[in-house]
Amino acid sequence: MFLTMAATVQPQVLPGPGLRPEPTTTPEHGYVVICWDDPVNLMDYVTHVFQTVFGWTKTKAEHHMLEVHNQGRSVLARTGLEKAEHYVHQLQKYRLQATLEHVEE
Amino acid sequence: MKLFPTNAASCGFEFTPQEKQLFFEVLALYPLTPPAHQRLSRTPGPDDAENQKLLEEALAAHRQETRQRVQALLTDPRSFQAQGEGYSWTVSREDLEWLLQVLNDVRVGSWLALGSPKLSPAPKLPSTPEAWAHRRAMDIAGGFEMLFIAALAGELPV
Repeated sequence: MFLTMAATVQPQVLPGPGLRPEPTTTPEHGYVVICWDDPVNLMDYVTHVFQTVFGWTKTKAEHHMLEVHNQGRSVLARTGLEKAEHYVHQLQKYRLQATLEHVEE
Repeated sequence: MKLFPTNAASCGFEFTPQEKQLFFEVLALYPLTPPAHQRLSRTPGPDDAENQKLLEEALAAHRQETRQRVQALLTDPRSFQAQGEGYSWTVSREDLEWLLQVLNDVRVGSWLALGSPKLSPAPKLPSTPEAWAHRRAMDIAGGFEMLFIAALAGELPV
């Protein structure tokens, strides 16, 4: 009845602009939004949520999904407190393990 | 389950009676994930308690609104139209998004109830009826998630 729940075929990752946090730390960018690995969330599901919440392409969303899967976490955004809270709230509505962390100067 | 041709704003499905029953069983379990499962931050800070409280209030409001939507879907006879030996169901893409949230709440909540086991390799078979029920709900919710994501991406065979 159901499609397979096997792991997503690993794509060739082609990092694009904005995949790394900005190098500067300012009050407007003093927080990072992190997604943590959680074995229960399906890889395709996580990719879909990243696309929906951040408006990313599938390639970029898969890059971050694989970073979560392989490294235990991925920094999804670096931004101000208000926007970081918004992103965390959106991700948590989907029950992803997302947090915001203050970035030290 | 089949997907039938729809427009850019909605998706249409054909359910067998058994599929509809499984879908409704899983939806009726919502909400299952404890609010405390979600943390705003993992780094201690001076405003942690207040910020965490605000997050939990926001999630609780969202949970209440979503619970009402689930109840409406479960009780409105117009949701699923009898067709042949099964049912047809047309749903907007927007509604599929909150349904994905519902399904994953049930999946995560069931997994937590099982003791958060590693899922790869496959965990041992449950040893109690209660654990079987959680395992079943977790797997069924995940199955519907995959179907809906494939439908949203236009990857489900018509």
